[in-house]
Amino acid sequence: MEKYVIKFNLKKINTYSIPFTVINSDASNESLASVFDIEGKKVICHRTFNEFEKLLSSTWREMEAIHYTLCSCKSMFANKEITWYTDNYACSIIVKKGSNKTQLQTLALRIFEILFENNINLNIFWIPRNLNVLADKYSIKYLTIGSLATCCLID
Amino acid sequence: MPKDTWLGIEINLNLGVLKITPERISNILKTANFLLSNKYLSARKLSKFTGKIISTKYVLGDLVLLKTKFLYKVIESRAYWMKFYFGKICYKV
Repeated sequence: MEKYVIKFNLKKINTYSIPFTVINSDASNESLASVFDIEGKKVICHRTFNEFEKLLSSTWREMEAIHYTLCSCKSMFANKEITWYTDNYACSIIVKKGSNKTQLQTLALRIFEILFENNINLNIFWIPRNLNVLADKYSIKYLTIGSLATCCLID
Repeated sequence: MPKDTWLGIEINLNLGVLKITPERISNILKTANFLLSNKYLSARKLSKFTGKIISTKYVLGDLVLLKTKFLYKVIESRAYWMKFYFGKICYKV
């Protein structure tokens, strides 16, 4: 028990800085997508859900969009401050405070572990769906590829 | 003033780091052991323990809110504040 406390007992004092990237994420019925810029290059992170995941709630799918992007691109964001926009209001609260449902709670804990291990400072906000057009488009557009997992770079 | 303690938080401006003092950690662990050893608890003692964890939010971050989610749910379901009431509910979960 003491080891567990000592592991987390350290916090860097944050100074105000401009966020490294702004990430928009969205999840449709069949796939998730998130769009962001790194050094002038547009990065799209995308994957399709399997049959089991399609049956889960829409909040879970939006949370998975955050979890999957952080998992695959965590080395890019290490030691940096990032801003995140999703179009699900519950999702933006559950990442901070947790939920009574076990599936959402375990996802929130996993997201926290990734953020802690890589020293990422995440600020998550809700925006209405009509401002989240780009991520919404990509979560439907790449359906035709049909691959399980893709993360592609476009100039 | 490179190093100072304030309200149980150790502020180190040389490294730019915040820490909880070891006395406070041992205090929290002591109350946790007390709660685990007793079969029946009052709402007052349980909320005392959660308050001690929540007050470390400046150092531990959002983990504090995630881990005490269920403790608050149990405290909210109380009937009395001081009576020993919680034992059976806690035991089931």
